[in-house]
Amino acid sequence: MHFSPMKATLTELRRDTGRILGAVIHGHRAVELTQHGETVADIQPRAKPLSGAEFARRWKNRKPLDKATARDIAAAIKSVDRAE
Amino acid sequence: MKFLIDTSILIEAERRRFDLGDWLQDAEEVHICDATVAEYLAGQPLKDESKRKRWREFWESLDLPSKPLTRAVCERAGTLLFLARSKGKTVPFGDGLHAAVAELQGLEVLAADVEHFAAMGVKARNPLREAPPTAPLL
Repeated sequence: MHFSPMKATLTELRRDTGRILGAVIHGHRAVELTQHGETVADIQPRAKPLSGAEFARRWKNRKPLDKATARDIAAAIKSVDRAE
Repeated sequence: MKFLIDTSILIEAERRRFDLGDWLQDAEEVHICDATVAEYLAGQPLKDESKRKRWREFWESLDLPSKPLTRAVCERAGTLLFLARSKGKTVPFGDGLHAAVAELQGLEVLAADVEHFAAMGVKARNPLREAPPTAPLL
């Protein structure tokens, strides 16, 4: 699960452009570019639109949530929304 | 039709064993946005490891590309949330972000709480209550 951005230095980007851009383009990962330990730029993937047919294929092949887990997740998200 | 799926619908479809894939089969484009990534992460089960495993596997198996929350999206979300407030309607922050992404990208939201989006003047429908869109006639 890739929720956090990958980090790469400017030197690594120059030396290993294919691997880093591959992670962005094919791995849908954001990359934080650093120089001397400071973040100087971000590379963000641009999400390709998913067709309805492709979504339907992924939905059919997903690992489904059971009802109890889905209920717990829904309740947790609502509780975050209501937090004071 | 181009749709933005709100987190509530992804979860609610699973809870009710609703075939969201079949409903969206003829859609031109289907998207989620980074607000759903945040909400789904926030909603992970706390104590039950087997539920956490299912929570993680569901997300990884769907692998949906996500629209980013840019500065423009956040500014629009703030304006839309204020618009709802000015009408006496308090809307969850996440719905404001979904509404802004949808409005800026020309998408229609699929959500359980359609009235939240109506309060912000953003088009939304609940696939659990409405028929799927029909493909345009050529």
